Amino acid sequence: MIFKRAIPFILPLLLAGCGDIAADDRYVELETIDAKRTVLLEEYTGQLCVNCPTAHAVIEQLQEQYGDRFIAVSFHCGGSAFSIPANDPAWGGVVGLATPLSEEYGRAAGISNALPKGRVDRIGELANPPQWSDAIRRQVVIDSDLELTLTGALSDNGKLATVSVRMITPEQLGAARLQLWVVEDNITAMQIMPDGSFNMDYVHNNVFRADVNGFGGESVTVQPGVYWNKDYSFDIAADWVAANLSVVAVVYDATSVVQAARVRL
Amino acid sequence: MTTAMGNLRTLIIPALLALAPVCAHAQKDVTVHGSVQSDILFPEDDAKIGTETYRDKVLTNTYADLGLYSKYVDGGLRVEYLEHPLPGFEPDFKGWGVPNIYVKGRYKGFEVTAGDFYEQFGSGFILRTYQERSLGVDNSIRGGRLKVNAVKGLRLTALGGVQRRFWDWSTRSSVYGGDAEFDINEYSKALRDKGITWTLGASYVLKHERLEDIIVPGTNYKLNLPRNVSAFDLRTKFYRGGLNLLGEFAWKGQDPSFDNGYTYHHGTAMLLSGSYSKKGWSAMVQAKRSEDMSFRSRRSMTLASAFINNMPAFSYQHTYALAALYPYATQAAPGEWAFQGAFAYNFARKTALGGKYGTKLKLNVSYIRGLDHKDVKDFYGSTYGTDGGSTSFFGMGQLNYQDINVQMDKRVTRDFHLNVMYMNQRYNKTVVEGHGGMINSNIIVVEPQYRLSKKTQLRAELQYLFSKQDQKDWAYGLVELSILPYVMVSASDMWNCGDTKTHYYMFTVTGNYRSNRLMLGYGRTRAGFNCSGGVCRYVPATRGFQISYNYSF
Repeated sequence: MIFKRAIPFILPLLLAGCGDIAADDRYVELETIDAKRTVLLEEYTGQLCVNCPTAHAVIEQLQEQYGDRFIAVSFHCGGSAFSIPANDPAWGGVVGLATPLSEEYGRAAGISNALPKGRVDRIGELANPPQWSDAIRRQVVIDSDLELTLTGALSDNGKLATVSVRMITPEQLGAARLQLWVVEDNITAMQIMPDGSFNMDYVHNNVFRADVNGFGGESVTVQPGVYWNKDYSFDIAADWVAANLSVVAVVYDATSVVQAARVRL
Repeated sequence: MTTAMGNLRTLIIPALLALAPVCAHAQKDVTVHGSVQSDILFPEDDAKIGTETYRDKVLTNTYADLGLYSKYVDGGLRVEYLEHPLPGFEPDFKGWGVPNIYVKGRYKGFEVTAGDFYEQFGSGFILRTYQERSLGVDNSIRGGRLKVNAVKGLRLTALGGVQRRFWDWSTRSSVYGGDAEFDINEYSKALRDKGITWTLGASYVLKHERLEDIIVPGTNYKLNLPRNVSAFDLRTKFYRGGLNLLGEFAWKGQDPSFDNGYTYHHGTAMLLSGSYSKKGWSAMVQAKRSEDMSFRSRRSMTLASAFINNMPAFSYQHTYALAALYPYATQAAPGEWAFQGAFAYNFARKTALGGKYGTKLKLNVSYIRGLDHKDVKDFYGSTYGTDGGSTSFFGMGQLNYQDINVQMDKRVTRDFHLNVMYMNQRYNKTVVEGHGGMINSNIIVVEPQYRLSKKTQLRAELQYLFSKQDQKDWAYGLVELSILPYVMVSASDMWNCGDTKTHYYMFTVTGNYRSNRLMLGYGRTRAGFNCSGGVCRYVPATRGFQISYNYSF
């Protein structure tokens, strides 16, 4: 008797999760948004990470979607990354894209062995690729008062790079830091693929190469309405291809990235 | 989280305090039990084996359990100190507090639990909450549970609550479930007369989780995610005179998650198991097919946390160091076809093969393949929101794992005992670890034990792993002297004589006194996977002084 009386209450519970969402109902179109600022994704990746090519594809899709309003920097680090200089005869042409510095950035971000991971505008915890799109969409609509422009050039037959940073803001920017990174695109190097195969001709983009103004950058204070200018120069390492290099500038404070910019050399 | 924990403490701590007078008044009726487990490492840097650099001088995982037990009411709590945890646990593992506290009341056939509890339905296909400290797994449920055993042959369980994920009991998701087991033999004299035990079981689990925005990369579409995911399990168990049969089937509704690429495929699992034992021999065969059965309370979680279920392992769990070098992790999300067989035979004493003291022989076989995923659908280059790929029921994909091992256990003389094992293993490192290809290995283990005197025993292990892949050959040696029942001293070395030529030495002294066990050790541990029940944790290389203390009362 008790069971019969309980059926009307138990049955809806049992059926609550049984209904399928039909294929046509699985996607919800979002409002079109205007990108108001440039958003930074710090990606942590590795050439021996089987899921990392999928994350790289996500980055490519996001770059296509947001254009120059989206910047990705890929740090090769952790147990799935390795470091082998180009042209090392002992490794027969295999190149490892990790460096002690990229490992240090990975450690500072708190990466574990589970890659790929990423953090958008240094907000929240390290996230998996499926969560990046939402985080970028949330950030890109937030206006930034800081105008950040970069110009860059090569000289000395492509052996020396110079970068000029220019910032202006209507309100004082204090307790912020400016970080400059060198990144390289179109690096052909081995990558393990989702099916477990080794792709020796994989093209890596947005690869972190070096920092221009030290680990963590430098402290900056920008007075309201007054341009902040500074020039930097650095040598092009022998294993970099100058034509594929860019400099990324990131202005950040204790809570998040304030503004970011990228310029190709 | 804080509120949920606060409410729980508000309710349960007074309840435990209320038990104290009961103890005082009726000490005979109330028993107190508890335990302490503390594992401590003083880490040292060692570039040769690639240890991490530690800021902390001392790392420890320490647990203390206390429980009060009486006829009608039990209560207990656990203090965990993991603020400076041993290497290799997930970042959120760090913390300390009282993550487990409960009160349990029972009267006649009813049992009610409030607080934190562990539960398993059937083989764990749709619900298994458990603690495995070596893996850092504790997916207990905080809430309420009712067990009813008031009708002969019928056992009912209903539960609900939020799941523990390290130090978080987020109310963003919750888990509810029910289980019923019915013993047919209780109502059939014919079955009882034939010595048959026949049980039917059914379970249901509902996961409720708040929505989140998962956007299809590069598009302006987000997924319409299900708030509720249901899972069912049906099973039958049969026993008669040494014959054990089990058949189990589970089904899971659409559960798009990080694990399955946010696809809307249904999950299924099927298990058939048969075993027979008779004096002198036993045999067991099992087959399992599972697909898309990663079932977590948080759809976007990775690594080993927030699992509601646990797919049973079909790989033999080895204790010998080299046999456990390449352990298999169950592939719950992509699915697998898994087969397992075991055969044991005792050659009787005073026979040609049994000799004077008899001989035990065991054969274990594990064979696991992936599924034949094909026709993977996509939406703007992503699997998100699609049905994923299709598979055929009997179709199999790549070989994931194979283990064929033969073990002989032989007492040669009154004082000399010998265990010998040969193992052939194929380990698809790419499937389990993401890279490395197939590793084929052959392993030989010889374990002699010699009783020097009534209280002194010497044991040794000699192991060798032959492989042409990964780091190639390994050798392992161990010598262990036991002075019963108090002291055990051991020295071991695991040597990669293939590529790296690295030694992983370890020296330990273990003392036992009454319920205390203290182990002091110094040495290196290799970076690798530590697995238990098909669930694995990556453990980085370490070197240092170790202390392990256990006490129970």
